Amino acid sequence: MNRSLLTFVLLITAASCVDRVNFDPPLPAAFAVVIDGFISDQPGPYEVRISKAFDIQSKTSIKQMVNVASISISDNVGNTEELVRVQNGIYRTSSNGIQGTVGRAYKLKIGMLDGRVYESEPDTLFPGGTVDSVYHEFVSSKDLEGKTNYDFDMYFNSTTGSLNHHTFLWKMVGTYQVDTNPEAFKVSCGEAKCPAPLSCSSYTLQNGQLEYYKPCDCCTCWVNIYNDLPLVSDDQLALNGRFTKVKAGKVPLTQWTFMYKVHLEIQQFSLSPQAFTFWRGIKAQKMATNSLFQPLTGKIIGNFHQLSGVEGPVEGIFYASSIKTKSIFIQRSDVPNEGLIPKQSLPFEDSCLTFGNSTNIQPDFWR
Amino acid sequence: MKLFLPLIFILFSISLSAQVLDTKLDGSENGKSLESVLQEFEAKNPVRFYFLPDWISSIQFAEGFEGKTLRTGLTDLFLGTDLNFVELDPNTIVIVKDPTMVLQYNTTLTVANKEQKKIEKVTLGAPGGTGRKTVTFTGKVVDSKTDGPMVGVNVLVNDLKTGTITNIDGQFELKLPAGSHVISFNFINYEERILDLEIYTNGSHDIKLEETPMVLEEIIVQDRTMRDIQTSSIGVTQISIKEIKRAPALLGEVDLIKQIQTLPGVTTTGEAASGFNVRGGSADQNLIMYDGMPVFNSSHVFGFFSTFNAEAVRDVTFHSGGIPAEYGGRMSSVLNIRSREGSYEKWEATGGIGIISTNLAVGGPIVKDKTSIIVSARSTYSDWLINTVKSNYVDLQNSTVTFYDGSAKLTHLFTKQTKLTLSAYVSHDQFRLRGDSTYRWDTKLSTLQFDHEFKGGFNFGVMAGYGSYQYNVLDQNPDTGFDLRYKLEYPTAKTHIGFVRAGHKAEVGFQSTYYNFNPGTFAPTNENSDRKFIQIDRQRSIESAAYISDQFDITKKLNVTVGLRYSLFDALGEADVALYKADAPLATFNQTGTLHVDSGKKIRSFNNPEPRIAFRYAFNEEQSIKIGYNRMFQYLHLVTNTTAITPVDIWQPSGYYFKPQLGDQLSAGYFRTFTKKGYESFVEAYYKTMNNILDFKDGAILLLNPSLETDLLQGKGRAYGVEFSVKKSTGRFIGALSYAYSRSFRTIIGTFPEENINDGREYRSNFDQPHVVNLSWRYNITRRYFFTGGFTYHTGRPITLPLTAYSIQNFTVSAFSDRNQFRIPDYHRLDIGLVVEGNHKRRKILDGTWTFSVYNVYARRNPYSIFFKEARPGILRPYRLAVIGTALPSLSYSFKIG
Repeated sequence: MNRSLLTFVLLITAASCVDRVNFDPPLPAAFAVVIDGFISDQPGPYEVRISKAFDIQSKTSIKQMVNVASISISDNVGNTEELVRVQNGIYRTSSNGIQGTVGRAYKLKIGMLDGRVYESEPDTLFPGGTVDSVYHEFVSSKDLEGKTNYDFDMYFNSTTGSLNHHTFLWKMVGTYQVDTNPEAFKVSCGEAKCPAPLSCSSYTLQNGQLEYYKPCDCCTCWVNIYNDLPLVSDDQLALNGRFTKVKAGKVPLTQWTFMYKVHLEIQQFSLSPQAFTFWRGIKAQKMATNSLFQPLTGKIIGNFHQLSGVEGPVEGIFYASSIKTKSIFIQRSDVPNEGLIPKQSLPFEDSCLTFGNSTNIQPDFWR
Repeated sequence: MKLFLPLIFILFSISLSAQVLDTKLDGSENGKSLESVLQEFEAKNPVRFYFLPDWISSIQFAEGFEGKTLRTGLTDLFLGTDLNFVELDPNTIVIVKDPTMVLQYNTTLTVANKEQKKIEKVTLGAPGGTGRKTVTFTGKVVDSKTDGPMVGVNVLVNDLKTGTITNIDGQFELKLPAGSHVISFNFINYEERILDLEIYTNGSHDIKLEETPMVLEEIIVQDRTMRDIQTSSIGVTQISIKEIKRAPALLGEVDLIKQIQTLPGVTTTGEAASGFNVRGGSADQNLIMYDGMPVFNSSHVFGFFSTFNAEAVRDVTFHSGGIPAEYGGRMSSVLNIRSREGSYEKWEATGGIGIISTNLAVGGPIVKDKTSIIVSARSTYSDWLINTVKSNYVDLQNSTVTFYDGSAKLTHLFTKQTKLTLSAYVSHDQFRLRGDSTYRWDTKLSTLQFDHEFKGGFNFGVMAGYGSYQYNVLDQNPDTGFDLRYKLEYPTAKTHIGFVRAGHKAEVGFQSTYYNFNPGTFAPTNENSDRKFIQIDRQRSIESAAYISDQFDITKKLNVTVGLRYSLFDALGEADVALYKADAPLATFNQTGTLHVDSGKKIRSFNNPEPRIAFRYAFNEEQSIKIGYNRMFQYLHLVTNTTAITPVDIWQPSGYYFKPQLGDQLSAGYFRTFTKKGYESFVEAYYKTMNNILDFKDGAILLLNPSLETDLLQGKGRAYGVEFSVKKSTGRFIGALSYAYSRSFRTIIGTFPEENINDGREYRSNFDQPHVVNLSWRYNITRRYFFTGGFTYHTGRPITLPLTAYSIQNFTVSAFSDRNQFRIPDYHRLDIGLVVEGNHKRRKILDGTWTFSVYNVYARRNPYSIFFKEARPGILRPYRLAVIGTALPSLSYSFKIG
């Protein structure tokens, strides 16, 4: 009986399928210039990155940075500062230069090498309120295979600072330390694996033996994790100017995240209406992904317009924001049972810099 | 040649002078028979009238002839009859009779006898009775088993080559010259009835049609023939339930909505998608009525199957243009479904067993000839199948697909003219995929209807009903569990008075519906859930309408239907309406305050006239042209950012910010039948404008949004197209081929740039599918075996695609094209089926039919949905979900007991 039933069900379920569809849309006549930057009430320097949009069909999404002829930030009270190129497509203000002030409006003007000039709409810097507390809850969940996973769900409470203004963007930045063993790196030599310590490690190979020759540059790193979605404020979460128990994201319990501890910072960015609309658009697009009912997400409206030159598309935003932060450490002892922390069975024989969003420079807060 | 002899005499006589014929009548002839008046003339004047007394025995002078000449009097009296008079000389007048009608009468009866058709002799009045020159013959056509009125029955006066069709109450009215006529009554899958009618006075006679126990030659899927030629209604289709059952169907499930999707001008946005789109309109612009109550979600399993059990349905009428004044509230079409009544004579059961569901309908008399009941139910066992299978596939084990629907109808006849009907309908769905959220949606309808037919062609009906539609999304995750609930309740009252008399078919009525919306309640399901309780404010409104319509002949060839609907809509408090800055876009961050409206007070009112008019000019009994215009207002909007209807869509009433949608449609058509060859054809063209249609802003978030006005935009639309159809409806091979070319566009221009779509330029609507072809056929292999099939093709619908990507801070995002700039792949599909009916013995207890069909024969992967997955963070790739990606065979058995 079950056999025949299975036939029926397979007939039904096997009938459906999901496959890639190639629309082969024509490439746009020109790829948009993408401008990404902000100014805040925190001391500078501030960074503006200029790149080009890329073909979504391409298999590699390497961001092509774009150099410009001139770039300046100005406010509505007559202050202007030219930014200086620090890398291809990356421009900075000076550390003691212009700084955002609540109530003022800021705009960015860019002159491209081909003569085009873009300018952002003035963006007003609204008060930032405060992040009052950051806290976590240890939770477990089962995946579709039935395996139990453990995480720390991160929450915060914050205050808007003004009952009339409650458009915010929150970022969660988690940092954890990882130790790896790049000196144990091996390469294929015939059918076997031969030691080949990485040059960034402390050791070199001498006569088949590892010999210490310098401090390691890639044995210890600090890895950043971010929230997947831009977390923008929702009016429904605001009550009398307070946001309570807003979920910022999660920190998974893995062999790496809790080698030592996790630093977690909540950054609260005040947003102007136009910046809020921009970030909300990104959030909507991210949320729509994978939905079978095909929510149609459209264009994300930035705040740049072209002043002169041959017409060319532009994307991105330059906004002004008051930033408030609060951070905590989550210790291994916060895990209800340390036995739940996965053990590392073998050393990781590679550079710690192979972790995404990692750096070998110890952050100040880690000391 | 003999037939033209009287005509030659007539022409000849015109040149003769005639003193007697110019004699003025003095009024003394009032009330006298023509024969006696002529005899008096002979006595007083040197004149002789030649005639056969039988010919004029039913004719007498009424009032109003005084002062007219005898010539005028005779002309008036003979008008509409086959009689005429000829002056051979000034003193000799011959009354002649055109033998055509008599010959036709005799021929029709002879043929009917030869074909052993049922002929009923009926005599109304007697020769020499009232003696009126034309009489009115009325009646009602009912199903012999159920006594239910039959709508759309062709009533043909064979000797006069004229006819009509029965109205929604099964009634018909004919104007006939007094005398003998042969009238035939035809309806698909019913035995033809012939009436040998001798009529001399106004009279009425009811007809009972018997369902044919064997396959008729003339089987048509969409019966538009006589309706198209004879009435001014344009864009009306009567759906044959029996034919729907014989068509190949997805998994063998008989589906009314899928059948609608094969009509010219009707499209669907994807394979197995819920709802349908008519002439460039969105799915919410279709009014689906079940026993007079609107249905807000007509789909099981997200659109795989419709919620209507064919065993419980009596008839289905679909209006895509020329919508009668009786209907309103939607801009594009009306699908009117009426459920069956139980038989008043005997108990019977019908049902079907398929691989997905089983259905059963049982009905019969509670009190014979007085009270009947019918109960039907359909349920799936897909859930049981899924859970019975031992599988390591977690997705399957944690999934559930359940649906059922049921209906009941209790009817009591106080007299033949007075009926009380209690009807109830329920539909339920439950769906969970991969063990996360469970979707449930339910529709409940109930109506109580009282109908009475008065003497003299008046009828009266009053209905009270209650409807509700609700959905619920339940997530049991211990950390994120939530329970989302949406509910719409709509008690409704309707009344109408109809009048079928003196060449007019008029109706006046009033309808009112109270809507009570709970737009969303969102609550955590347990203490550990991080979800917050959200309650979107309730919305209340009343939609009412009064209407009047009339259908009548201006001349014998020109028929007109005029109607006026006057609709009123009040959005009611209690509510807190958000107010925004006047000089800024509608956005939550531009809110300045709220306006409190007390309970029961009007937030905003709308009242609008909706004129409807349609003309038909019949060149002859085989050709006609029609022109129709209708204006429709729609006060409820489906808020969605998807192309197909989903269970979690929101219905939003018009109010402070949302204006009612307005649609104006002009349509014209040419209709042609080739009776001898058995072909029917038509071509219809239309142009439609739409105002205040909704579209969503880029990046809109619609679910649980208390400020929907900030994420939605209203603008204009237009649609135009031309539809062709040719159908062969007789012979062993029958079929229909239709083609539609149709376009549909939108333009959204707001006050501010962010309130524009595509920078304010006109863009293709989601339903712009220019080319649509449908082909269906049935070949009678034998009397019991039929090979059926269908092919459908339509242009892929428009889609918005990501073209480039870029990074902003830590996020990579996709940049989309202009709205609806591209198209998904074209849709086409071939289905075939073999129908094996039981033996055709008239008297048998069990009548069964096997249907074997193959859906999507060449395994085309038509998309149900095009969605986007991340190839890498922020890099979206389009994927096609083809829910039926292979050829899908099915076997079903339907039966009838009793």
